[in-house]
Amino acid sequence: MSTDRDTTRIVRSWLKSDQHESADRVLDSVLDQLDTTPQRRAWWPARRLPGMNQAMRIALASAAVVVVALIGITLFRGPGIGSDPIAPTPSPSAAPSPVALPGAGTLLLPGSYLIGDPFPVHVTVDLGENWGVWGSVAPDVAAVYQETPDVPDGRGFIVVLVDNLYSDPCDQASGLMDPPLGPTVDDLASALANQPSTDASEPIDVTIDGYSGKYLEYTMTGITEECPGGLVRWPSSQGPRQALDGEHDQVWILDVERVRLVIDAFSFRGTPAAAMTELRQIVESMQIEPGT
Amino acid sequence: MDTDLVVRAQHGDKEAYAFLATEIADRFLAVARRILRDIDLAEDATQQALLAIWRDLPQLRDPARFDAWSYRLLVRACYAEGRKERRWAPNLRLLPADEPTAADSFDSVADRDQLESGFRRLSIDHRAVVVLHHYLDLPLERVAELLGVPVGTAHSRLHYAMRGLRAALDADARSTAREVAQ
Repeated sequence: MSTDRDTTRIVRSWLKSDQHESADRVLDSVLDQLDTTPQRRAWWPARRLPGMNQAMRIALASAAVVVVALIGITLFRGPGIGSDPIAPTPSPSAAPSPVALPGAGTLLLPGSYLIGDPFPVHVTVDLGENWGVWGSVAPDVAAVYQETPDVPDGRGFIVVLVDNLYSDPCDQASGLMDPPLGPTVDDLASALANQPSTDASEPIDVTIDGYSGKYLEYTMTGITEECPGGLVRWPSSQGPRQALDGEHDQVWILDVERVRLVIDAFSFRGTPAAAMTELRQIVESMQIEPGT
Repeated sequence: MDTDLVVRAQHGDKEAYAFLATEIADRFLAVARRILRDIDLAEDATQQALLAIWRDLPQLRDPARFDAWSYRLLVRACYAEGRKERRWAPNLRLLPADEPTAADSFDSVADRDQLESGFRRLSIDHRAVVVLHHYLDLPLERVAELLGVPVGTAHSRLHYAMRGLRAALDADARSTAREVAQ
C-alpha cells in the first residue's frame, strides 16, 4: 500500500514530467480575433490606480485638506472678491451641507455627500473615514467604497436603477429577460432572491427616510461551479453588475414616487463585522428625495 | 506581472495585451492540458481564457490581481471545456501515453495508467486543485484565492483528490500482487 508521501511524490512527478507544448498556434488565433472581440466596458468607470497604498491615501487626503484651506480662504474673502461661490468641500469636521459626489477615483474626507443629477433620485449620505468614489454618478448608477472594493475584506454600496435582469445570469450573452422584469419592488426582490448561486433571505418590508420597499440579504456561493463563466445580475450604463463568490449583499429596494431605487451594500467574507454594521447604518440614515 | 502592461491592455492597447498573452500562453496551455487531459480541449480552453482576458480586462478591478484573475478565467474555461468532454467523450482524441524517460521517477508504467484513469474520474474542481498545488506549486491559500473558494474547501478537495489517486495506485499494486501470486 502506498503512503500519502509516495502518492504525492508520484503525482507531482507525473504532473511535472516534461511535456512542453507550445501555445503559438493558440496565441496566433487569439491575436487574430482581437479586432472582432470588443472589450466589455467596466461596471465601474474607473479603477483605483495600482499600488494605491496607505501612504498615497494619506498624501491625497493631505492634499484635499490643503484644497479645503484654500477654498476656505476664498470663501472668507467675502462677496465680490472671489469668483462664483464654490460648493463647500468636505473637511475633517462635518460639512454644513452635502457636497456633490465627485468623480470616480476620488478619496473622500468624512462628510455629507449628495448623489444627485444626473441620477434621478437624490440621495444624501454621511460617510466617515476612508471612503472613496468607485463609480461616478451616472443616470442609472453610482458607487462608493470604504478602504477597498475588493475581496477579501472590501465593502461599499451602489445606488442603482434596475429595469431588467439577465435572462441567464450565468451567460451574459443570453440577453435580458423577455418578457422583462415587472415594474414593482416585489418583482425585483423575488427575482433577485431566486438567482443561481444566491443564498437569499426572505424579502421583508422596510422603510428608509419615509420610502417603503423590501429588504433582503444574499450571499453568493458556488458561482464557479454553477456559473463557470461568472455571474452577472443586471445591466447598467457602466457595464453588468458582476457577483463574486463569497460576496455578501444587503439590498434595499425602495419605491421613490414610482422610481424603483436599489441600494446594494456589498461586503465579503473578510469584511469586519463592525464595518458591515457601519455600512448598514449609513444606508439606513440616507436622506432620499425624488429628483426634479 | 507588469501592471503597467495590464493597465494599458485594459484601455484597449493590443500590443500590450499581446505581450501579456505571449507571457502566459504556454503556461496556461500546460495547466489546461493537465486539468483536462486532452490537448484539443486544452487548446480550446486556453484560447477561450485568453479571449476572455482581453474582453473582460476593463472590468478587472485591481490590475495588481491580474495573475489570480487570469488563472480564474482559465479554470472557468476548463470547466466549460470539461462539460464538452462529457458530452463528446466518444469522439475525443486522447493524449498518447507519456513515454517514460531516464529521469522518470515513476515506480512503474502502470502507475501512469492508473493515475491517468484515477485523475479522469475526478471532477474538474478536484483536478484544478491538484494541478494548481502540485504542478504550479501554489500554496493552498493561493489556490483557494484563484478558485474563489474558502481555504477549507481547497484543502478538502485536495484531500479527496489525493485519496482517489492513492486508491487508484493501490488498486494497481493489488492487481500486480495477484498476478505474481498466480
